[in-house]
Amino acid sequence: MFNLVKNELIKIFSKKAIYIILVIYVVLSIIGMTLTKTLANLDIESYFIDEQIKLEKDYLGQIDKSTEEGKQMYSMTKAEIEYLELQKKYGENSWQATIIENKLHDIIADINYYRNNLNQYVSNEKSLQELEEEYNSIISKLDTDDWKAFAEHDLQVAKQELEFNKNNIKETTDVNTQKNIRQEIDLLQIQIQVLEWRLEKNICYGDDEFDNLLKQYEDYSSNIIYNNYTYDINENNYKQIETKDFGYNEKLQYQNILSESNIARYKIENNISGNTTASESLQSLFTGGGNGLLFVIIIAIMLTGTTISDEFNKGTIKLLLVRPYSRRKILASKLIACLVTLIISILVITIIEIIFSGFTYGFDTINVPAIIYNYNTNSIVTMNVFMYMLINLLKILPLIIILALVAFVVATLSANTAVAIVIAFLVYFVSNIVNQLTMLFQSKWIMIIPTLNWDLTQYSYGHLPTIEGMNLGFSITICAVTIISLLVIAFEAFTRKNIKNV
Amino acid sequence: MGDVVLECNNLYKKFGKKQIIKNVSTKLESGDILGFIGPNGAGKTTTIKLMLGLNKIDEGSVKINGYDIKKDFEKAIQRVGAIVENPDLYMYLSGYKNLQLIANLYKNIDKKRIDEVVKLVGLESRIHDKVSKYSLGMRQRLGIAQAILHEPNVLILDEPTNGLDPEGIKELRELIQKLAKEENMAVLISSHNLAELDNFCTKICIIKNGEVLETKDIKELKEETNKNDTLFKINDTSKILELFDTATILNNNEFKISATEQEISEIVKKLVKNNINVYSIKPEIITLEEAFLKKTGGNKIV
Repeated sequence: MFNLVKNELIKIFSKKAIYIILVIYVVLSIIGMTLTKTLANLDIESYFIDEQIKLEKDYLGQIDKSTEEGKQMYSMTKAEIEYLELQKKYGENSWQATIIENKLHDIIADINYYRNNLNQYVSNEKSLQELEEEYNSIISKLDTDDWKAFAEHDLQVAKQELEFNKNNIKETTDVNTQKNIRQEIDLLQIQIQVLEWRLEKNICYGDDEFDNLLKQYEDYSSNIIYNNYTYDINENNYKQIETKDFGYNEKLQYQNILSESNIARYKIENNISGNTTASESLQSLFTGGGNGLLFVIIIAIMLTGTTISDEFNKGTIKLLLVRPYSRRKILASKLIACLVTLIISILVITIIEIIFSGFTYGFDTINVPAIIYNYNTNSIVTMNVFMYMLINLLKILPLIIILALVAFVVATLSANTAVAIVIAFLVYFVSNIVNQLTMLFQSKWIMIIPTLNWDLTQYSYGHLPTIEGMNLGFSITICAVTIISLLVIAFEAFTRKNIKNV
Repeated sequence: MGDVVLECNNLYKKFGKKQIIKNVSTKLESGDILGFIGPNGAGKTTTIKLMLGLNKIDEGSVKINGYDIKKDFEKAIQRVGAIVENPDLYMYLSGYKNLQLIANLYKNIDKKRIDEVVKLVGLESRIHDKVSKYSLGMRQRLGIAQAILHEPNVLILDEPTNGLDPEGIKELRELIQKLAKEENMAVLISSHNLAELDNFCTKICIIKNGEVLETKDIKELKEETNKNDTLFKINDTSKILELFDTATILNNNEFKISATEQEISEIVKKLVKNNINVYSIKPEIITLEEAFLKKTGGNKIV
C-alpha cells in the first residue's frame, strides 16, 4: 500500500500540470505585488482633484445667472472651486485637508452667499465679517502645521457638551428624553475617546492607517450605540432578542459591526497598523475570497480529476490493475497521494505568500498576531498567524474535499478528465449563487444542502451561521454524509468497472 | 507436460445485450506456449481481460495457480505477467522509471533484476529515454520487460508482435521459447497472424464468435487436417475424375487424393496405363494457416 502511494506521487510529480499551476500562482503573485507597490506610489488623487476643478470651472461658465436658481448655483460652484483649490494647495492627503473638509466647507459656502448677495441662503447666524475672521484664523493655524490645536479644541468642545448633557439628564424626568440624552452622552464619550487617542498617540488627521482606524472605530461604535438604543439591546443579549425589527439579518449585521469596532479598538490600543501587514495577507490567503484558496481548489480538482481518468485514457490502468493489489487499495492509494500533494501545495503556496508579502510589507510584519473577535465572550482573542491559518484551513477543508471528490467520482464514472474538472468547477461556482439564493427562502429544508454547510468558518468564534437554525454539529454531519456518499460511489463504481478497450 | 497453472471454465460475458463470450474453456500447463487464435472481434482480448480480472466474469471461473481470480484476486494475479492490447506505458516517464514503478509493487525486485530484464529485451541503449520517444517496437519490448520483471509463471501476451519488425518478431519468439523452456513458464499468446505462431506454439486454441472451436496440440491439429493427402503433378488432369472418383482436381497439372502407400503405387500404375506422364508425387504439407482456415470454415483472417 505504501509503495502504491509512493508510485502515485512519483506519477503526479513527473507530470507538468502541478508545476504549471504553481508557476501561474507565482506569476499572479508577482503581478499583485507590483500592482500594490505601484498603486501605493501613484498619485491618483491629485489627478482627480485637478479633473474635478476643471469640471467645476467648465460648469461655472455655463451657468445662466439671470435667474434666482442660477445665482444660487453660481455661488455654490464658486464655493466648491475655492474649497477644492484650498485642498489642492495643502495636498489631499494632508491633515489640513481633513480640517478643511470638516470646518471650512460650510464657511466657504456661506461667505460666497454673502458675496453674491444671497443672504437668505446663509446657514450661519454670523455676519460676513465674523465668518471671514474665522476663516482667516483657521487658515493661519493650517499654515503653522499645528493639527493638535484643532484636536484639543474639539476635545474641549466635546467635554463641555458632555458636562452639559450630564447636567441636563438630572433635570429631566421624561423617560424618552433621558434615553435620548444618554445616547448623546455615549456618542460624545466615543468622540472624546477618539480625540484623546489622537492626541495621546500622536495620530495626525489625514489619510493614514491609524487615522483610518480611528474613523472606523468612531463609525462602527456609533453604529453600535444607535442599534443599542433603537432596538433596546446590548452586546451581551442581542443573540436572544427576537423582535420584528431586530431579526436574523440585523443580528448578523450587528455581529459584524461589533467585530469591526472591537478589532479597530484593539489595533489602536496596541499600535497595530491596518491592512498593510504580511500577517494580514497570510490570514486572508485561505479564506473565501483568498487567492490561495482558489488555487488550492484548482489543484485539488486537477489532481483528483486526472489521477484516475488519465490512466483510463492512456490505457495504463491495465498496467496497474494486473498487480497483486485490490482495486480498493489502488483507488485509496490514489486518494492518499492526492491528499499528500495537496498538503505540499498548500505549504508551497504559503511559502510563496510569505516571500511576496514579506517583500511588499516587510518580513517583520509576519509576527503581527491575528486579531479575532470572540462573539461568545465579547472579547478580542489574538493568535499566531500560522495557527490561525491552520485552523482556518481545517474549517474550510470540507469544501475542498467535497469538490475534489466530485471531480474524482465523475472521473471514475466517465473516465473523462475534462468532464470531471468542468463539473467540479461548476459545482463550486454555482454553489456561490445557490448559497445566496437560498437565503431568500425561509424553508428549514434548505439547510441540508451540502454547499451551505461545507464552509465551517461561518461558525468561527460564536458567529451566527448563514441560515438561522444551523449549527456546527449539523454542518459536520451533512459534510460527513456527503463525503462518505461520494467515496462509496467512487469505490463501488471502480471495483465493478469493466476496463474498456482504448 | 507440467502442472495446470491457468484454467478457464465455461466463461460467459455479455456487454449490454450482446453475448461476447460463450462457454469458453481452456487450460494452460507450465512449459506450454498456447496460441490463442481467432479473427478480429472473436473475443480474444475479452477472454484475456476476463482471465486477468480486468473485466467482470458473468458466469464461469478462472483459476490461476489454484486461486480463483474473483475471490482471491491478489493471490491469483501475484505470479502473472501480462500485456493487454497495446503496450500502454507512462509516456512521460523514462523506460527505466516505468520498470521501477512496477518493481515497487512487488517484493524483492532489485536493480540487478531490472538491468537483467532490460538486457533480455535489448533496450539497454535507450532505457533512460522517455517512453514518448520510443518507436512502437521499442514500446512492445518494454511492455514485455514489465510483464516478465517479477518472474511470473504465467505470461499472457495480447498481440505482442504488433509493430515489431521481422527481426524483432524472431527475437521475441526465441525469448518466449527460452522462457517456456528454461523457466518452465506457461505462455498464452494471442494473435490473428497465424504465420507467426507456426512452429512456435505447442498448443493452439481457436476462437471464433466468442466460442472455442478447438484446443489441440499443434502437431495433432496438423495431422488431423492433413489426412494423408498426396499431391500428384502430371501433364493433364482432364481424365482423372473418370479414373479416381475420390480425387480433387487442383488445376490442369495437379490433383490430390487421399491414399495409403499401397494405394499410391496402384494409382501410379493406373496413370501410366492410361498414358499420363507423372512428373512428381509428394505428400501434401499443410501450414497452420491452411489448417486454421479449414476449421473456421474459410473465414479469411489475415
